[in-house]
Amino acid sequence: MRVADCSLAVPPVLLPAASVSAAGQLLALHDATHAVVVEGERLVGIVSRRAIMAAHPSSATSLTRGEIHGRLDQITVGDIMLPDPLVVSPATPLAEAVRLLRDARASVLVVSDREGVVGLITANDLLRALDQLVEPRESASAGTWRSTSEAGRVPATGASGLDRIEHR
Amino acid sequence: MRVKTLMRTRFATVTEETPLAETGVAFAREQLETIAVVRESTLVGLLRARDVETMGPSTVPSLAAHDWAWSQSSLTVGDAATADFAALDPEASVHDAIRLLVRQDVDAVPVVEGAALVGLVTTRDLLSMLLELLESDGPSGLDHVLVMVDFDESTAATVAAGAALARRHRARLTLLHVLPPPLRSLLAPGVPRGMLDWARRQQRERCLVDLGALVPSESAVEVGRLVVTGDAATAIIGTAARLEVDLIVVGSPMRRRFLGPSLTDELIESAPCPVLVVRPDAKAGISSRSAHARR
Repeated sequence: MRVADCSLAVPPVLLPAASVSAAGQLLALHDATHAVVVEGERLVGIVSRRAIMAAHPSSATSLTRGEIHGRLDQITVGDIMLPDPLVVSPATPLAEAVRLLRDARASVLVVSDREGVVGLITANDLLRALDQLVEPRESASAGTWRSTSEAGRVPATGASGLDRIEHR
Repeated sequence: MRVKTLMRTRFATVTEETPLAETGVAFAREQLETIAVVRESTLVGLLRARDVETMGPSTVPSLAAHDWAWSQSSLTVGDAATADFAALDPEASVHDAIRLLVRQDVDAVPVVEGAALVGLVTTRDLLSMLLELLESDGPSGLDHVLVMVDFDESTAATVAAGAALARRHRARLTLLHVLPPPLRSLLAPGVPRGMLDWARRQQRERCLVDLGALVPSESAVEVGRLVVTGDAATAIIGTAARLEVDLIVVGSPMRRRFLGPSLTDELIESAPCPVLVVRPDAKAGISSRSAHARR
């Protein structure tokens, strides 16, 4: 299996000069967890939803809400991006990509060919690949997971892909 | 595979009273983004690095300068941990673990027996498992599978096994039929040569059509068809070498011969690559696996 055999999410693209608030809005709009940062034709970094959250001040800040927004508008993607992200090609064997991601403790790999970025591959994408590869689950299986919250708090199943899991 | 066989059982935990500022040590030691919060040995919550980050000061210095209270903060794990989490049963399957990890977008989920925390299933450990699976597929996997078709009772099972392997490895599949050498002088001494050649060409054409009908076109496998004339063993081994195939799939029993070793034996002796022998009544164990995996 090669990287190209995985379904790759096409990431939103940002410029380093974009503000952090704009980046957050773009990710929310695309329902994406990561965006690539490009300068001209060149990939310069990755910005994650998590990095944007972490840039926000703590609840113990002395800044007012308006001040926070004002300052977040001045902070750019270039300030918080992860520079030099890990890059693989679509022809990279999947095993090599898995090892790279695991050993670097990264959450995402950029898939790029000569033309440019073709997609992202995340740890969750690789877990889904594993889900396809491991042996089918035995038919008779006991209740398998439960929520600590009271019964009924577990969201309805079906669309979430959890429809085979019984609740206790 | 069950969660109990793939979970890790040694890991750091924190209690609700642990000051939040001290949890960095646990995160660093475990190299995880998720730490279990316990009271006695009972799991009471999960502390996620992103929650700590969100509560903590900004990563940007100009904003962090205003986070005056943080360093002397009296916040504890109890303030940041979530008590609303899902846990796995030790008997749950690897599929359940993956779904939970992906759905909650976390890098570890706890495994509980009763209320007691007994293990942790982590994305990292599952990635190691994926790596093992990918690499146990053989150094390079299969690129080209040759299936010997005899148009007998074993053909269906043989082609099914070959096609399933080819699909799984995204390999090319070549279906080969071997016509016996002509016995012109013996059986038809008076028939003109041209007519025999014509009959033979007709026979080849028919075989190619029959071969084409064996694999459904929607099966997403690149299928080649080949009809050669000659001694079966020599033809198969020659074709396998010429096409540089990685696996020969044959039915059992192969065509019986009066003298000498069976064709199967001869192939196993001298084939340039591994040989897979499929019984006519073999249920397509390979294809059922890929079919189940999709569910």
